[in-house]
Amino acid sequence: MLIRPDRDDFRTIGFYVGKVLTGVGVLLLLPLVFAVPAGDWNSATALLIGAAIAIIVGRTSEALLFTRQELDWSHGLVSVAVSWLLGPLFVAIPLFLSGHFASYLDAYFDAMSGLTTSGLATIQDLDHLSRSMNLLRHLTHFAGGQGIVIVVLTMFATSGAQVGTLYVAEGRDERIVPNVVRTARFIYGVALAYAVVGTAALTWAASAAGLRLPTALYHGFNLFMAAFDTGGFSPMSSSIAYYHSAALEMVVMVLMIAGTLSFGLHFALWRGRRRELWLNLETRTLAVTVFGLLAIVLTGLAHAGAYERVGGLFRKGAFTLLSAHTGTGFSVTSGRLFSTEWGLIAPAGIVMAMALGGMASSTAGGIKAIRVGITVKSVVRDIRRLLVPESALVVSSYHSNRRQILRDSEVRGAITVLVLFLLSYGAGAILGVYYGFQFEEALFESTSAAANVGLSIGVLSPDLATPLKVTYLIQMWLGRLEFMTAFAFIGYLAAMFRGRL
Amino acid sequence: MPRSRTDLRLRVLAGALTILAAIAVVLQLERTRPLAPSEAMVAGVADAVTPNLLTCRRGRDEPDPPPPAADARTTSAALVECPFRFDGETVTYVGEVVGDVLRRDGGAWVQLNDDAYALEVGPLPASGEFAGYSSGLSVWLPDGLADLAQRPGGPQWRGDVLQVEGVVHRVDDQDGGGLTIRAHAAQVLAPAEPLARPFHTAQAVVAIGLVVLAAGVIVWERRSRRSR
Repeated sequence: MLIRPDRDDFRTIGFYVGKVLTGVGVLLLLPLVFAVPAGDWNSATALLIGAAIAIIVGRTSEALLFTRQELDWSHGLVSVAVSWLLGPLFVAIPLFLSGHFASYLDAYFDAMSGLTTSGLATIQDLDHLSRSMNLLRHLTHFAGGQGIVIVVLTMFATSGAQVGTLYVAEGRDERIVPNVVRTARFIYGVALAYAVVGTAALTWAASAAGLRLPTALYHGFNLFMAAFDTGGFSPMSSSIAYYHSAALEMVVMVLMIAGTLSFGLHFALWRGRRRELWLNLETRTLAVTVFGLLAIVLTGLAHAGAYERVGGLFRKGAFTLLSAHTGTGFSVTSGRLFSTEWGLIAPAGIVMAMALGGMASSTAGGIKAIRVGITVKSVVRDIRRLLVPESALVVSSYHSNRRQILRDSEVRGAITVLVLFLLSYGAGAILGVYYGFQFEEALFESTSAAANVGLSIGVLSPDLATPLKVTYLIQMWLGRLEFMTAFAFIGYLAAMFRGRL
Repeated sequence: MPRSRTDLRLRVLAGALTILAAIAVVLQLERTRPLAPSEAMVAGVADAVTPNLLTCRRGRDEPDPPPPAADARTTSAALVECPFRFDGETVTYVGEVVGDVLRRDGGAWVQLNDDAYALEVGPLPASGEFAGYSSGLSVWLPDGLADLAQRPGGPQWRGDVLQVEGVVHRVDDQDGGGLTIRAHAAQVLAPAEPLARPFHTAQAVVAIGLVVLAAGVIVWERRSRRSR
């Protein structure tokens, strides 16, 4: 029986969503550091309008809906789901006012894509976009990649217990340290450490590629945010291919891998537990899928005759595979070449890589290695059960920070989300076919959206039919929240209108 | 306590309407954005040789049709849709230099965009005419030609528009396997020009008003928090 939410429920949800919107407003102020010194007053005023509206709505909600009520499970889920729907609405304000989006829906699409670290884009004439707006696009990756809700709330909240449900609801199912606030701070600490090193390395590589130092620094910082947060936006429309630099591609690959590792693993490595790298089920699963799919992609490219020499084959194939598997979405070739040059096998490998994604509790999307690993372990356990006497007890275990017994509830949870992702990929593909695209192209784009990757084979464009564009938008939202949070929100909506008092 | 369904729905509706009103203001501001279109169409650009794009899929489609004549203009869209049709052929290509001139030993890489913003309607911030994604190709300009790319396009400039004649490399081994054109002749069709971005007065007024309102809300919220 559904219980209709009462005023206290709305008050609690609205109060926490208000805090998040205030945080979004602060985020929109950051690109002013470029707009004001450059005298780009149109961008500056656009950013101020977006920030002011977000802060007005956020602060008003906080004042009118103040509560000391603890967040329960449903409040947390709904707060996160609503925040991830409303946050992009406000980020879209300055983006739309930049004049580079044909509709508000397109601006909302890119804001959602940025915050969910997807990287699909509908922005037009990107190569003439102002620097402050381009910075904003990449900042959305940084904010969304770490988890905008948890970051904002750990800045404003004093009690870790209050925000614990939000942490899990936002797709972070692993507390690195017992206190959620300290966990979130550790996550940002890791990100900032990588920001310093990564930006420096990318600046050097971009400078060596021929960019002047200030421009190289600007590109380096933006590329860092998009690479480490497995986002995929880039300052130029031709993405990483723009730089013609193997060194820059290498740095980007390292950052993409770092971004797809869980923060728990970063913590273990930071504490000197290097054995975790080899023992962890997720890193093992990732190693198998990355190398397995790399073999498929390279074989496919060789079979299609897409590249004449081994150097080009590896450079394009390995980068694209890593970009897909980590959920980043950077490209070193035009997306149309996947269709016209790469044959069928290599793009199939890329689709599989996008579908699988990176590690849980990282910035990557997709099914996630832990679920793939658990599913495989479960299958192996079931086969073993068939082969031993009925009275024998078959126990399976895996290592993730510590040795853990594989429980049926974990298997059920992993397979449920895995199936939901597969259904989402398929549903988007079928709709793409309905709108006249070839199945493989529709599946590629749908998987890219739902797994928050951002590689495009050319289906997405500003002129794309609105229902298909909205479908990709919803897929990005569902993929980022890994379905359950979104489903809880939908259930809450149903309870509002159909539940009992 | 809002016990009735109507009360709950009204509250949700009121919140949604507030946000929609804000978006309506934003939409109106964007409609009234002042534009400054320049001499948008680049003169002297030949018609594209492939107005109807031919998509070919490696290993699946029919053999290539004959390549275009060298004196007709080839587009990036045509090249990307059917690269092996053009591989090794000499083509004429026209585009705006965007981003940076990446100088290396013996020449420079430039990104030449041949989209509508480059050749027809002008950059979007000034023209306000939407024409799809940016699109272009990587072009290698050897020493002697690289100096023709004086001012690349970007947020402040519409870049030099170059016409190049060069060989298409479907797989350029010197670029790690990228699709490129290696130019052996080039000329400037249109020099770079600064992009005018007229000041949006109405947007500035709205911004100031909203900032004052936001400051007021912050003060009010702090006071109400202290009084609790």
